[in-house]
Amino acid sequence: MNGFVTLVKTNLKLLLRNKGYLCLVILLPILSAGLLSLQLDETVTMKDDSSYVVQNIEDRDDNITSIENTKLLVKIYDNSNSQLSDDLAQELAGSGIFRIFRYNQEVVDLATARAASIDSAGKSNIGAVVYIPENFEADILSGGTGHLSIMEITDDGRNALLASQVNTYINFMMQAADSTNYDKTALASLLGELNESRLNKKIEAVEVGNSLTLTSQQNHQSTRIGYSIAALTMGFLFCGVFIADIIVKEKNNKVYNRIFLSKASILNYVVAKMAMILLTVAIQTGILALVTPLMVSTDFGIPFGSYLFLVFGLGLCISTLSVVIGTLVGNTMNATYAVFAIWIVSNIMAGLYFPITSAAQWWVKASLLIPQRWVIVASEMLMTGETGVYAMYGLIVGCYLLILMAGTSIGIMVGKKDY
Amino acid sequence: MPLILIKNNMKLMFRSKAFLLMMVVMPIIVIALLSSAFKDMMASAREIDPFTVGYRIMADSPYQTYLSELKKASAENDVTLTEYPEGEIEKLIKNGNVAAFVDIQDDEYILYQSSEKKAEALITESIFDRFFYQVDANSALVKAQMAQGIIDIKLLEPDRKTATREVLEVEPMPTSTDYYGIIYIVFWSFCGMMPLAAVISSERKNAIPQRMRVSQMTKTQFYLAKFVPCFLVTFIEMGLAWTISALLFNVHWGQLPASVGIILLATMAAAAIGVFLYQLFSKVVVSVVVGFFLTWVLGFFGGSFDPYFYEDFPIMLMKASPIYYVNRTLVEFSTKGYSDYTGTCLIYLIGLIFVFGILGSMLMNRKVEE
Repeated sequence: MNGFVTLVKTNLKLLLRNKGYLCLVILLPILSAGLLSLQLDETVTMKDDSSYVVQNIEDRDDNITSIENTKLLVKIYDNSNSQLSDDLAQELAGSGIFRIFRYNQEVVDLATARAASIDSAGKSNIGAVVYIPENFEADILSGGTGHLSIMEITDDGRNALLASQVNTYINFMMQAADSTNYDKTALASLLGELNESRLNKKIEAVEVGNSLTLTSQQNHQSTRIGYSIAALTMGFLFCGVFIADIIVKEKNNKVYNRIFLSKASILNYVVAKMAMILLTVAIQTGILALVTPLMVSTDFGIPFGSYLFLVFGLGLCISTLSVVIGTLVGNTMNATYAVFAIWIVSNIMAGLYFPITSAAQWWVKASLLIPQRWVIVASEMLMTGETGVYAMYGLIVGCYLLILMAGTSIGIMVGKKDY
Repeated sequence: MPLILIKNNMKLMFRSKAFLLMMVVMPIIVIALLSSAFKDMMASAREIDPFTVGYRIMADSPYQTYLSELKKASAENDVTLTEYPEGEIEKLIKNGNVAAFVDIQDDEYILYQSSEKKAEALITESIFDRFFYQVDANSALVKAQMAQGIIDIKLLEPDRKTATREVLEVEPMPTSTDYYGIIYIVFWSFCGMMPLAAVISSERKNAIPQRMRVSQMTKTQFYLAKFVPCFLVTFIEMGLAWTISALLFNVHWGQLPASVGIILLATMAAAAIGVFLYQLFSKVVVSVVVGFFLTWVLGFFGGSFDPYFYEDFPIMLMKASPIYYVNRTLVEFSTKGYSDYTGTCLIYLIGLIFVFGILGSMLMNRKVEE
């Protein structure tokens, strides 16, 4: 490797002399760790839609959102807090199409519930609210209808299904109360009998394509990883631009000719540049490793070491990519615009801000071309306990680097021809 | 006004094809992507086309007698039930013959759901769940009444309305196309500091600030010669992206003159911040990178990626971002025709223009005097 060490030394000197580069290498990992610490868990985010259980909410004003919107989200104000009202909530949750969030911490009057529902309309995905009055059970047991109110927030066809399900359940409760002479214990045992004798339901998911099922906590952790990756990618991309800037300057100042007239080969040159990328990424990952545990809780759902491994692999891909772009564009300013555009679009495409599993198939497939997507895929696989994740990720990173290095070599050779 | 310098600087900015491409093409690509990704989430009503569900039932099943009722209930929900006594169920789903499949057995029924057609699967589940509930509830009622010695058996009246239904009057929600169609014109308007990079690099290379000292131009004129072309170029490019996206995706903007005015102010605020950043850092690239990062952070909290109304971040942080106010005002113009946030939005933008305008010109004066 003739001249390799000299090349690396010179490059390193040039880079460390650049204040912009130093700023990016040191500050961006700190900033992205800081950004992570600002992320709070105030919203009940239901990104998995598979649950059949009634989810109790502690805070009446919790916002509830769901990216998939396949189940109709229903909020129940259970003021009755009785067996009948619980039965109604369980039946609705078990029927499949509704996701039930129940608030039963204190009695809320209808006007307040209505006002809160109107206020929550923009902030959450709640489609309808079921208001169960305080005297619900007593009313059913005295021959009444229970006086339930369904308040529809969205103009959704599934609201009709909700109304018909609620009416069916209440109708049964009324008839059952009538059949048991309005005796609370006998009614309870009849409801119990119905639950026992009901035909069992079994769900078989037929996977068309590949998908992993995450719990809502894992989804939350995956989103956190996505946010941190979004900020880190910027550091990797712009550091690559600085490395490319040196290549462009070397081209413009005819340093190429001098290097290639010496005993250093093109391979030496490319490997020296790769070493710069490796060093840069290693420093950034190192700073991240030091800063993150100090600033935020590192609960990513995967071991912190694995997180760093994924970040390191991503850094190699992204920095190399931006070096290739910078070399091919040949102008630092235009390269900066290009990587910014790539950064914004690739983060969205890779699903760093929101899960893309419900997006169109072409999108899901195209996203696999983006390195950030593989970080999300790998971390979700690690969360669900899949094996062979590190080998898979290593292979993907290797493939990216191979393709990109070939690209860089071509870029350099094109540049070399000019002279 | 230093008209010649403004004209010259505008020429320099328009010469950057990469920037022109980014400012016009990128918003259109992102609007197309995000409006399609969030279509379901932001849709006020899910639209599902009629679909077919396959089923299989044993010949001696007690549920055979209720099949006609089940078919009627399904048809009411635009679902066609088709019997497949034989054949591999998974294949039927994978080939797309049926959206879901129900295998009714003696002690259970198995619902096969396609991972690609979750909404259809859930409707199927709901229809079958309600059907089996009614059948089982009726037999429980019959049993209970017979035990009581009642001869006139009363069954379930599932169509009887017991609960009151009320449609709430809520704030109208934007469609994903309208939301992202507006939000990305705002986001890219805030990237408006970038075109100035071409001017600044050229000036620094040719020592223009030093030469300006011997010209008759005042320092304010020198500042305006950067500020004015910067926001004008961005505004023109945004106008282009705006028109193309509105025509392509049919984005509904409300209060057009007011919306145009707010976007103009947003480009001015971005230009003021931009001039300030270029004066703050000696390296153009550093200013650009800091500018990009700042814009991203403001957009991140202001609703440029995740819709602002879900309030995924602490509201204080969101309200610190000027992009939040601009987004909210323009989206509400589109959905309601007015916005309570207009005043705050205007004050914030004008405040930014003044504060960064003064800071920028102070730094510039210092540099010219050096």
